[in-house]
Amino acid sequence: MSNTTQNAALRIDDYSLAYKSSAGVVRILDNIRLEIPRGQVLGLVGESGSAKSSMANAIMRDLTGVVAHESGRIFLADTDLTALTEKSMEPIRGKRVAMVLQNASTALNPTLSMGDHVIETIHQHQSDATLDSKNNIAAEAQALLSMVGLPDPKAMMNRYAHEISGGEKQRVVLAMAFACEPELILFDEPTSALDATTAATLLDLFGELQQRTGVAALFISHDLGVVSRIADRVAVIYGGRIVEEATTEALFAAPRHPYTRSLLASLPRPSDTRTGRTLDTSGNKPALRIGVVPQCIYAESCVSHEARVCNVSHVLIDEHGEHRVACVKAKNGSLIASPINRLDSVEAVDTTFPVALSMASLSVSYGERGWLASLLGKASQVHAVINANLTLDKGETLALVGESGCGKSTLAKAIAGLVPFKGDLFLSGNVIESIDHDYRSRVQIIFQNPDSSLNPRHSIKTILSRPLVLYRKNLNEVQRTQEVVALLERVQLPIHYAERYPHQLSGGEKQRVAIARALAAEPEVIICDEVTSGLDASVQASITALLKQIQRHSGTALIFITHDLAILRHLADRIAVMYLGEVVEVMSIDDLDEPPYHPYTEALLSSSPSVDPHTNTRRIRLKGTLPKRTQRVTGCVFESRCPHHLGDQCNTTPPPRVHHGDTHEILCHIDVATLAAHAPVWQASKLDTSI
Amino acid sequence: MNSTRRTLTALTKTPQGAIGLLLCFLLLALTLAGPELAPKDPEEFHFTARFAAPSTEFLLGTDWYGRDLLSRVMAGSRSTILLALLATVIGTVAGALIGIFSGYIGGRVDDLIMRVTDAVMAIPSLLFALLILSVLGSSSFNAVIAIGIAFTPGMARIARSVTLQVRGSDYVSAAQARGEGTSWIMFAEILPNVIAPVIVEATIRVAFAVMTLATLSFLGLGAQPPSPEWGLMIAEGRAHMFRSPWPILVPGIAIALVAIAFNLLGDGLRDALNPQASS
Amino acid sequence: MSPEFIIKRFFYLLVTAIIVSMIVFAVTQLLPANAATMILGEYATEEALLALNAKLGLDQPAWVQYWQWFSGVLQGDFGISLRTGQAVGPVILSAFGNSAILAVFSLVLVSLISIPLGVIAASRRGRPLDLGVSLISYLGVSMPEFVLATLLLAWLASPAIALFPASGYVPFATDPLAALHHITLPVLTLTIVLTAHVSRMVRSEMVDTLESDFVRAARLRGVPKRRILFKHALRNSMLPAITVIALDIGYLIGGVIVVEEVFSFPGVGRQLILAIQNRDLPMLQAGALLMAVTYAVANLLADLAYALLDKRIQFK
Repeated sequence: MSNTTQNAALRIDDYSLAYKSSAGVVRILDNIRLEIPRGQVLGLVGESGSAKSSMANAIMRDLTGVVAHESGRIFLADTDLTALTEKSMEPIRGKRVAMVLQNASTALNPTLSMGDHVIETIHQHQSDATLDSKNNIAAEAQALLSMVGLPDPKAMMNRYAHEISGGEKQRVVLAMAFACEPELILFDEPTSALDATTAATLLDLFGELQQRTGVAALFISHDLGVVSRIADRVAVIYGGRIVEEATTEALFAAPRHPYTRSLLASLPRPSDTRTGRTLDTSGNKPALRIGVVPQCIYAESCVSHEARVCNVSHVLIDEHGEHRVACVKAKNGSLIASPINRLDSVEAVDTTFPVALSMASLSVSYGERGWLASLLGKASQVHAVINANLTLDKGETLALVGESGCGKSTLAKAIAGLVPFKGDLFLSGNVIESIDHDYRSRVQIIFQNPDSSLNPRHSIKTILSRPLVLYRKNLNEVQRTQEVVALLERVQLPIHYAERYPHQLSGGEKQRVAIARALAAEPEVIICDEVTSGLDASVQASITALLKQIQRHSGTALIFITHDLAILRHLADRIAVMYLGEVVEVMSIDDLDEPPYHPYTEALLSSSPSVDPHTNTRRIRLKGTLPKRTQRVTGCVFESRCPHHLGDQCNTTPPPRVHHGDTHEILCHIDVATLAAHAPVWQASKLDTSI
Repeated sequence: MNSTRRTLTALTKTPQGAIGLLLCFLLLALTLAGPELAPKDPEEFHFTARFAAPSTEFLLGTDWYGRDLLSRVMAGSRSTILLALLATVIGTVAGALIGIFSGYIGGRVDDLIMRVTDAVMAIPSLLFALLILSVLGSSSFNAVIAIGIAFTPGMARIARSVTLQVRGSDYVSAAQARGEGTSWIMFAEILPNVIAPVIVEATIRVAFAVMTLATLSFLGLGAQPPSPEWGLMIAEGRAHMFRSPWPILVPGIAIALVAIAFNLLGDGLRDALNPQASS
Repeated sequence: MSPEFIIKRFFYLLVTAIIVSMIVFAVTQLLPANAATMILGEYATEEALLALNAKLGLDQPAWVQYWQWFSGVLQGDFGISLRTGQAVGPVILSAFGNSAILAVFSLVLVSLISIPLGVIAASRRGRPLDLGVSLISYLGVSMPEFVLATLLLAWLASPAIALFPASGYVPFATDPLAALHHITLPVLTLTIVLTAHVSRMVRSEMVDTLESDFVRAARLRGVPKRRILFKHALRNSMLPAITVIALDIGYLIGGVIVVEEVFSFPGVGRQLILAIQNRDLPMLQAGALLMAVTYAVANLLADLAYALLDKRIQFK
């Protein structure tokens, strides 16, 4: 922490907070010492349960629990916020410190227009000296909407939340945050609910506005990639304590705290293919919140923990310094290096017929086609998947990539027999006439959210027994119990979990149960629909490792659906990119690191945030939003947003499927040579120019 | 089941739940043992003590024949509370089955069932009960049937709307993808997750059933004299209401007390079963 | 609001009304006892029953009977009262007018009292005022109309106090003051019971809305509490409240039947009870149909009001 206390926009002085709960006093925040100089952005990074959002709530004086204990002080410039009453906070909120919440869809009042929102914010904090007329405020509001890059701000003034896209909503929220030229803005996961390409443009916008206005900001996120892009300095929070704080460059290039190290080690990077780096899959335990506080908050999960050395005193972050850390061993240089993971050798899978699953012109459409709708002439159909032709070899992993609404999950549901489709589906070369019992046993699906995919009223044993009852009828009661135990062991869960209910398990454990349930049928194909999306980075790494390991042992083919491109290098053999219902590109994982790319893939790759000191990412941003899918596009599906648009032919003619080598096909009018000549999205870089 | 115990623990932590549970427990005990516990014969006339105000002799006073009101109310508790419970059970079971079936099957069948329940619900439940009673004839048992039928569409609506939410959840999709049969999905996957809101609603409906049953008796379409049914007691007491309020007040308060007890219990259950609170 | 939405809702209303008419007809005329038996009693002679069956058209197939009745209803002909021998239509319509007076007065009062009450209780959640409102509304929802009405009657109309007449009705056209005097107790009963219902609902909707993200976001922009309450929360809570009030019209109709009976007020409810007691089928059918259709129309109006207020529904 630099000694510029006078210039600090925000200074948090040994702030601690604890809430009351039925289980006892819960520690939320412990001895927080942070400072944000004027004009700087501090990133606050932590996994779920780290209390990172509670920090923002404490600054806003909007505490969500019943306070058991609160100490320390929070200064906004010279004002001690902890000393203020609710009433005296009103003129400060929105005026001197603004907050941007995660979900813009719920942060906007559904019955007020966008204009009403912005006008209200300005009106609320207008000093009496400037008795502006209503028109002036409206003009000011409109100027703000235009400042955040909303097309047609005049029309936007009269729109309601349900009429605009998620990205546009977050822009309106941003306009409100900047409306009164605050000293500080708090961002609480502002881009987490958005698609990668939209999130990327919003981060750019914020960076630009921050430069222009010189506002200080606290940027809270679980996503280190996002933070690395926006922050000057980064603080890492674990179990309610700041464990490390440094400049963004230093923190990501040379992390000092074992927790930061393990966090970074579990994150995939674009350069992993070149360097052969693998992910740390050990995972971290959640920190204790109730009862006696360990001297070092990370003691339970730390590979370097030694009671003799570490438990001497309450381990807190240094008060001052350029690179502050809360670790005894890091300070005296006795940390052991993180273990380096090596790839296991991959055994070749022996197969007689190499293709596990394939499809020919598979299409899915659904929507309003009720008799009343057709009576009123309103029969609008959504074409969710259009003529998908994909093959999946035995033992391979095909990743299906795209943003929300691209049809990837619908395609998964069609293959799993949950949605009717047109076209043909082949399993081991045989055409599937109907989705029957045999097919269902051979093709299994795992859903994104294990909270919802495991019935809360069933025990783990019941959940794992059902596929055995259905598909393996030769097993008797005793054998089934044995098989349940074997399944739990395969997914590395303790066998006594059989008696538990889903709510007694953590998110990662629940997902393991879901995986075990899919394995119970001994399937040939498992569809994994965003199975790691809701999980923390370290848990995500361990789940993908488990899937890889299972695949290696059983030879099961995986269809891995994700919006997260970074993880693919550690998982996929081939990638299919979907946009607006169409598969626009299919390539092998080796094709990922250099052009040619489909223009959409190029933008998607560029938008995917990652922490990689070894790589520079070329900036490609998409304009506009995803078009509605009720009408079939005559030309190329990507025509409305393509940065390399060629003109008429893109609008009117469906693009050809062009090949680049054996493994790579692209749906584009631009010829492969031109696409291949584009600069690569990632370039190896030196550490100092990386961010 | 540990989930039942969890719910009960959570229930006693809310003031409504704790009071409601206690009251309902006492009322149920009264219902089962009430007639035997009554201090006097509910049918015995005390002509020397007609229209008596509460005293040590007659704790809650007497009516126009000098019958002990406390004993009559206690004797009547069985015909009021037990019958109300029965009516609610009929409406709840029928409604829940229809709702879950309709919600899970969906499509045209669901449309049809919902149009019919809409139409039945368009008839206010008291009116509907009156219509049914006009056909079946006046009796306590017919009133129970009438209320049960009148409750069915409302319960069906609630069960259906919860079923629709549950049907969209991934564990139902997972069961479908697994190839589970319709009956397994409806009874093993959906039903256990629909039951909580249905029980909450049913508890609150008991209060309605008590009130409706009493109303029907009051209108002369339920219990018949000389039954000590509470609504009927009030109807009979009206003739003498300007001489003594006690024959009206005592059964009136009894009805309100039962209704409050079940309303409190229902609200307490709603809080206790709230998924946010239980995790 | 799109025209499609309105057409759709009207269509539903029509379907509902037709199904209701079928149910009313089926319940009263066809199931399970024969209407002639109902009218003449269990000990009637065989010949008398057959004669009445023929006279009522009961010897014809069910759908023919239904159609005869329903087509008559469509032309405003509800048949002849078996009790008085008069045409049912004019009698029931004038009774309907009387009932409507009770209902409208009560509904207006309920809306005026219960919405502010619910808002205030929600804004002071957990404080004495909120607890007080909750306690009273618990009592209100747990007190059947006939108990409350009888108690009010026994107290305020007793010879000792005699503040209001115990029964009867004076048309507004003849003497507005006397008319008001006569409807006070019935309206008071209905208002107390319904206010308890509606204020509870408004409170719980407000509490939910006050916990929503956008209210928090507004608070974090420095919007003062009063403005949050009335500009942000109330508007969003009114949508569900409207639906609840519309549903409560069902209770109101039930309440009207009871209250009319207690106060001997000449409305549809009293006609209905008389019809049941006297096995006057045409009157029973007409009254039931009228009430059910009124309720369906109230729900339609609520839906339309909802759509008008809620910007989101237009796009559904």
